[in-house]
Amino acid sequence: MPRKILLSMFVVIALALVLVACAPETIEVTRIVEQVGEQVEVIVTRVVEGEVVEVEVTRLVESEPVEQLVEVTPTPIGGQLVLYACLFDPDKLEVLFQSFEDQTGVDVTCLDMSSGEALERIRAERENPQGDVLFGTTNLSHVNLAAGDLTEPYQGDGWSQLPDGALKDPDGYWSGFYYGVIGFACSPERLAEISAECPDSWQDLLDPVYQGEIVIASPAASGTSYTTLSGLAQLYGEDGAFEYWAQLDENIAQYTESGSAPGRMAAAGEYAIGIAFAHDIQVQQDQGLPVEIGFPEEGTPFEIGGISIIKGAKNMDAAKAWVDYVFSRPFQRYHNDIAHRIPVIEGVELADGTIGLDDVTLVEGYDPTEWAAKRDDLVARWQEEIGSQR
Amino acid sequence: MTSPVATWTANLSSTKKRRLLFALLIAVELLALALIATYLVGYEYVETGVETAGDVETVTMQRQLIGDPALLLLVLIAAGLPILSRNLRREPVVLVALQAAAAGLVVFVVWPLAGVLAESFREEFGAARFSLLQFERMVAQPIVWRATKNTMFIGIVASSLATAVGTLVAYTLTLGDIPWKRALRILTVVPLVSPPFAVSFAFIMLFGRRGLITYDLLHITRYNIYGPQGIILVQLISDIPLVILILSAVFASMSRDLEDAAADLGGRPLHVLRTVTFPLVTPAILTAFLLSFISSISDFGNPMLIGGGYQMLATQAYIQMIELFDLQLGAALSLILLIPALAAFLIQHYVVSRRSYVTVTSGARVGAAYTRKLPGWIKWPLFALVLFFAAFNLLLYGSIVVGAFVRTWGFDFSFTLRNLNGVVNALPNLKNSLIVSVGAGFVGGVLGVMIAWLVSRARFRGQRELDFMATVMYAVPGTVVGIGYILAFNGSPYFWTGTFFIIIVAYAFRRLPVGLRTSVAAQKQVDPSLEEASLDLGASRVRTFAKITFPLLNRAFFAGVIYIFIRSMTDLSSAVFLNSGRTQLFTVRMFRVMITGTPSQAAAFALLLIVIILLALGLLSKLTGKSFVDMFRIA
Repeated sequence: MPRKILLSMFVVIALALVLVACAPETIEVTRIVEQVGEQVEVIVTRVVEGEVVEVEVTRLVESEPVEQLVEVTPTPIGGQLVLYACLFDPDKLEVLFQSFEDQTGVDVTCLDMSSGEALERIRAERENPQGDVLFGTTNLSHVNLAAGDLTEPYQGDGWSQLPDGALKDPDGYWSGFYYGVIGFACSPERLAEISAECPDSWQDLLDPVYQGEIVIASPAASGTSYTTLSGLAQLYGEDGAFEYWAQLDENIAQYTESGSAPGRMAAAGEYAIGIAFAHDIQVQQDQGLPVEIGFPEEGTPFEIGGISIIKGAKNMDAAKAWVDYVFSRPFQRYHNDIAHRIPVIEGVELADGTIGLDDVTLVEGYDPTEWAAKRDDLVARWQEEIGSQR
Repeated sequence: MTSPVATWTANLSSTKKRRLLFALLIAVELLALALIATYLVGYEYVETGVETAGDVETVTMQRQLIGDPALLLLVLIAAGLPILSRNLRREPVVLVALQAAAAGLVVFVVWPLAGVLAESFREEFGAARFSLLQFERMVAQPIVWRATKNTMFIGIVASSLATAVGTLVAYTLTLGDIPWKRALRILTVVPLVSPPFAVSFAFIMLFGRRGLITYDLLHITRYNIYGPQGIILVQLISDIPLVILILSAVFASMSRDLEDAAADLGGRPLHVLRTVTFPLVTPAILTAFLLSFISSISDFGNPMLIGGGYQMLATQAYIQMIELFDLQLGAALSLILLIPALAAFLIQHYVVSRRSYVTVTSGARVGAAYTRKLPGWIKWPLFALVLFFAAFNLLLYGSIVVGAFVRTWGFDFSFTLRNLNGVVNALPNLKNSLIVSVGAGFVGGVLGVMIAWLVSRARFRGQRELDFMATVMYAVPGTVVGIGYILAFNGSPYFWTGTFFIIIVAYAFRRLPVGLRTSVAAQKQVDPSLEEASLDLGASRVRTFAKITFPLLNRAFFAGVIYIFIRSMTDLSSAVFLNSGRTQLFTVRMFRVMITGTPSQAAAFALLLIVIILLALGLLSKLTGKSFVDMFRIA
C-alpha cells in the first residue's frame, strides 16, 4: 500500500511539473506600425516557438496620434489615494483631503505610522505597493528610499519652485514641503518645583539642577532624536557631540522610543523638560496644556519633511496631483495653522502664534544625503557610548 | 436500491467498499492538490530584448518560473505524510482533518516564520547569500545580553505572580461560596476587553509621575512608575484574566466526586484542596503559566509605554525592525526571543503529557459547577484577594471612562464631549476591526477544537510536531507575525496584502494556541471511554464528534472564539503591518492618539473599544443562549 501512495504523490509532482513544462519557451511579439492612406495600421504578430499563432490588426484614423489614443488622461482623476506615514492627526487633515477630493475626485486615505514603519512597509510591499505617496517624515527617509529605488521621480510644480540644495532631490525623487525645528518643551509647574527656568541653550541643559528631569527620545529608536544628534554633530563636530551627550546623559531621566513622547510628557507635567520638535510641542499647547517652548541659542537642529511617490503607485495620476497640491499656497498655509510645521514656499504667511524660522538660529551645514548616509554609524556609536552604558 | 450503482455497492464486501472510498478520497485530494499547485507555481513571460528596425518592433520574451515551488513541496509533504500511516488510512475522517490541519499550519505558520528566519540570515534586504552577519552584530552588542536577561526576569516574575493570583481568583470565583459572584466575575477579567497597552496608559494616568493618585492625592514626587516595576505590574493586570479564563473552565468542569471522597475519608478542607483539587488542575495551571510567560516576554506595547527605556528583546526587535528599518537584525533578535518560549513549551508539553487527570467520567454531572463549603479562614482571605483585584480593575477602567469626558486629564477636570469627535471619525476603522475579529474568531475557534481533538484523541506519529506547529505562534511577537506574513504573501502569486483575508488568517493562526490549549485541557478532563463507547455502538467518527466530543468541548470552543475575537479587536503589533488604506484598523489609530494626543483623547478611543467589545459579547451571549456572565466566565 505505501508504495501505491508514494506513486500517487509522484504523479502529483509530475503533474505540477508538466503544467509548467508544457508552456512554450519563448514568445516573440512583432508590432508593425504602417500608414495606409488616411489610416495608421498597427499589426501585432505573436510568434510562439517559430510558429505564427496570432495576428492582430488595429486601424486608427491618422489625425489622432497613436500615443494619445492609448493613453487618455481622465479628468477628474478619481479613484483612491493612499498616503503613508500620515504625519499628523488624520482628523485634522480631513479638510485638506476634502478640498483635494472636490478638485480631483480622489478619495484620500491617510495611514498613521512612524517613519520607520513606513519605510519597512514600502520595502516589504515593493512587488505590490499598497501606498501611493510617502507623505511627510524627514527627508533622510526619502533619501534612503530613493537610494533603494523604491520611489518614482517627479519634478512637479513644487519641485520646480524650490531652490536647489537641502530642500529637494536634484533628480526629483523627493521634495521637501515643511521645516521642523527642535525645541525644549518646558513644564512651568515642574520647573517651579525644582526652582529652575526653561533653558535657552545646550549648555544650560547640563546644569545639575535638571538631573533626572530631562526626557529625550533614543536616537537609536527615533528619527526626531537622530535629528538632534546630527544637529549637535553639525554644531560641535562628531566627537564634540558625543562628549556633550555623555555629559547630558547625567541629567536624562529616560530615553523614550517615540519622538513626540518627550513633548507630551513635559506637557503633562511628568518631567520638567522634553526635547522634541517644536510643532509637536505646539500641538500639546493647542490641547490647553501648560507647556512653554525654549530654543537653544547656539543652534537649533531641524528637519525638512519630504514627500515622494512610491514606485508602482496604483494611482499615479492622483499621486502626482497630490504632490502638486501639497505645494499649493492654501495647503501650506492651512497645514501650518493646524500642524504648525513651517512652510517652504516663499511668501506663505505663518499662522498666528506659530514658530517660524525667524524665531530660531538654525544649525549650519545641513545636507540630507550626508546625514542619511552617516546615520547607521552615528546611531551605532551612540548605542555603544551612551545607550548601552545605562 | 434499484439503481445499478447502489446494487453494485451493496454487493461489495466491506473491505472492498472501504478501499473504493479511499481511492475516491485520494482522487479528490489529488485534484485539490493540482489546483493548489497551479495557484502556487506558474510561469510568466519576461521581456528579454527589444529590437526595432524601422517600423517593426520585435520583442523577445523568455519564460520564467514564478511562485513558491518550496511551499508547494511543503504542502505536498504535509498532506502526503499522513497517508503513509496505516492507522490513519483506516479512518478517512481523521486523515482528512489531519491533512487539512497540517497543510494549513504549514502555509500559515511555518512558511511566514521561515520567511523571517531566512531574513535573519541575510546580509541585507533581498540578498540571496547565506550570512551570519546579523548574529555577529548581535553578539558584539552588550545590549542584547542585557535585553535577554531583562526579558527572562520580567517573564518569570510576571507570569509566576499572574499564575498564582489568577489560579486563586479562578478557584474562589468558580467554586467558593462568596457574595457578589456575578459582578466579580466580570470585573476580574475586564482587562481582556481592552488592548494591553491601554492598561499601561491607565497606570500612567493614575500612578505616573503626574498620576491622579500618586501626585494629586498622595503628593509623591520621587516615585517612578517607569521601569521594570511598571512593566511587571501592567503585565500582571493583563495576564491574570487569561489565567482566570483557562482555570475557571477547568475548575467548573471538574467532578466533585474525588473531593467529596477525600472529604468523606476525613481530609480537612485545606488538605483536600492541596492534595486533590490542585493536582487535578495542574495541567491547566502549567498551561496558564506557559501562556502568560510567553505573553510577558513577547509583549512590546507595554514596555514601550511604561518601560522608561528598560531594554527587552521584543522592544529591541521592534525598534530594529520598525524604527531602524533593520529587518534582518530584528528578525535575528526575535529568534533569540523564540528560544525561551520554545523551552517553556517543551517543558509544559513533557510534564503534562506524562500525566493523565481524567475526572469527567461517564457518570459525572457535566456542566454545573458545585460550590465548595470552605472554612472562613480560607474563604475570606481569598475573597479579599478577588475583591482587591476587581477593585483595582474598576479603578483603572474607571479612570479611562472619566478621562474620556474631561477636558485635560491632570489639569482641567471639567466635563466635555469634545474628545468624542476623533472617535466618530474613526468609525470606519472600527467596522474593519469588527470584520477581521469576527472572522478570525470563528476560523481560529474551529481550528482550535479540531486540532485539539487530533492532538489528544487520535493516535498517529507526529502528534507532537502538529501540536508544536499549532502552538508555536503564541511565542512569536505580533510584529514578527506581521512582517512574516508580508514577506511571505505580498508578492506573486498571492497579492494578499491589503485584504481582510490576510489579517483574518494571521489573527486566527496567531491566537489559535489559546483556543487549542483550552480545548486540550478540557479534552484531558474527558474520559476517552465516552467516545469509545459511542464508536463501539456503531456511531461514525463524525457523529461521535458532533454528539459526544463537541458538546463536552463547546465551552472550550466558545472560550476560544471569544478570546480570539477580543485579542483581534485589541491587537496592535500585527495590525501595524497587515492593515492598509482599505483595511485600516481601529487600534492603529488609537495607538497614535496615545502617543501624540492628550490622555483624554486616547481615553475616548479606549472607552469606545471597550464598549464595542462588551456589546459584541452581549450579542454573542444572546446568540448562544448563555448568560452575559458566561461570556466572560466561559465555565
